[in-house]
Amino acid sequence: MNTSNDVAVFLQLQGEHLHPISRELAMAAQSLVQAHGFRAYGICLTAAWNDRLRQELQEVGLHGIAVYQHPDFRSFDAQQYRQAVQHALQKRLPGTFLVGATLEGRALAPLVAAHFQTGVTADCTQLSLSPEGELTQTRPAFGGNVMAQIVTPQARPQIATVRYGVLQVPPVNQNQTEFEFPDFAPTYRALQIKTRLTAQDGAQDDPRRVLAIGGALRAQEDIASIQTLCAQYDMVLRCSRSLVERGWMSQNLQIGLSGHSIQPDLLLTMGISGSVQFLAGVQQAKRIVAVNTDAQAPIMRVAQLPLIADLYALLPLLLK
Amino acid sequence: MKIAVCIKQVPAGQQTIMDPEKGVLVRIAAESMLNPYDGYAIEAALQIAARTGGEVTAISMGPASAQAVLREALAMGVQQAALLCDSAFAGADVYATAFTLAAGMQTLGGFDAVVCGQQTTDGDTAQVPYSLAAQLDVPAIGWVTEIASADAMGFALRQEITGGEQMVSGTWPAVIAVSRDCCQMRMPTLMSRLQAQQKAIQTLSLSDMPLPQGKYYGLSGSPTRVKKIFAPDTRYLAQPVAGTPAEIARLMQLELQQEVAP
Repeated sequence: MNTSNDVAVFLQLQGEHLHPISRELAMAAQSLVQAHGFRAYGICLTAAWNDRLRQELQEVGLHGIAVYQHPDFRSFDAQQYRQAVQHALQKRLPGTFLVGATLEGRALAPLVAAHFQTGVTADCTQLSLSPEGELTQTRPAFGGNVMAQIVTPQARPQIATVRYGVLQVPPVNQNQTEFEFPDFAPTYRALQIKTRLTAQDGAQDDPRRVLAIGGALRAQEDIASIQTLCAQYDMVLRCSRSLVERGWMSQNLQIGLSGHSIQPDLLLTMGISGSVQFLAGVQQAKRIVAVNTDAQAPIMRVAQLPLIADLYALLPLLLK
Repeated sequence: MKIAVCIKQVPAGQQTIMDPEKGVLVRIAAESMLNPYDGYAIEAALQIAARTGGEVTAISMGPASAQAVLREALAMGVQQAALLCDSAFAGADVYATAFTLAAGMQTLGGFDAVVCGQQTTDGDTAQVPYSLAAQLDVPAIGWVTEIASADAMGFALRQEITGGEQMVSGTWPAVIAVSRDCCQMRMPTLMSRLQAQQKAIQTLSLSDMPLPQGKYYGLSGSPTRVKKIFAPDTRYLAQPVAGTPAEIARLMQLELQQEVAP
């Protein structure tokens, strides 16, 4: 297969707008190609193409965007989406394809990858592109508190998914975007889908001050005091994976690679050791204050203010 | 109707180490468990079987110790169990894992429905069900939170999407990946566990596969490679602060009050 070293990005829409992860990824793609003079372009599927959307996509500044318009794209049918994306990738043969790790992206990426007999590295925390177009995909390794660098030596495209708020993306040059409108209609018709959008829950927004608690919590009843503390200091409560696994807190409050990534101005962690998966979700936090009885806990290395203390000794003193 | 449920044995807690040379997981056999999501997949498969008059086969790709999770599936009530076990299968990434599962399913005669847990607690990527569906050339419906209906012809499934949900209807064959809230998991009884001990677990190795060449499986059959494993930076950003609880609490109050408007 004669591939280029270009980077393609799936531009997912949320309602009528570009999903924030897609904007982040488009900028990441531009940042990757800039150094080597490759091109970054987008693939967008929409049921309703209009000038407002064109304007929004233009502002991202990619070299080009392939727009696939069809009424069927109003609902997310992974099988139809993959047909369109495969059509786009087959036309251009980019070396790399980036997809936001939303529920939809996490379905789309492995389906498309199987078609090309290539790999997907999910939830990357870092990406880099060599002059030869080899994508190094970094993410926490499975088990153990270590990081892995993964490559796709032969198969193309190299596919990676990235969660919102994880990558640090520097400012990039804007390009004059060339739009194209491939003549394509999805043929997959086997599923009937009825979509219902519900109200967003609070955890989707962007909290500025966060208190996150973790495995050192001894009882579910103790969460109440922590909530009082949050109210007192105007913070929102989040948690690490341990408390979700125990069933004490809801998954949508989980911070970390398989939960939410946050970029707060202030993050206070109490009783969290700081696995690589957790830290991946907070690598953009501006200031971290960590409370842990263990000075060697990984979180203590990345906190601007690491405090060696037992949260249970502190709680009565902090609560008014 | 034939239903397959794909299950995996995962470490309980942090019980794996990395082989830095090969970049693959070395599993420590003690302290293993059934992937929590798979318990729900087994339950979902059994519920579909009850509604369709079908039979469930639990399939796992893993080392010999993975028989333990297949016994759990048998104890929950699946009719058959098969272990895909061969050194050639080791070190597989998502694509190669799905390839192996698909191959095993072909050897076992094919299935109308395949149920998977959405993700594993060790791999966590949630990709295998989709790769499997694509390689089986059937639709994939993931993030399933409810099996609204199922009969011998097809299904209606509630699926989570960004900002809402979808009701997806279709006909078998299909691969479905279920979330933990899709159903209430039944607990095996002592009697069912004892009965499960007596049941045979079929073991399939490389030579049992339709394409019995090692290059399609495991590390060789994986499009991705781990280039390097490294520990995160161990340097401290700041010196950890020790003190009495009162001193630490005071420092925290100063921090937390900094930005709170009066």
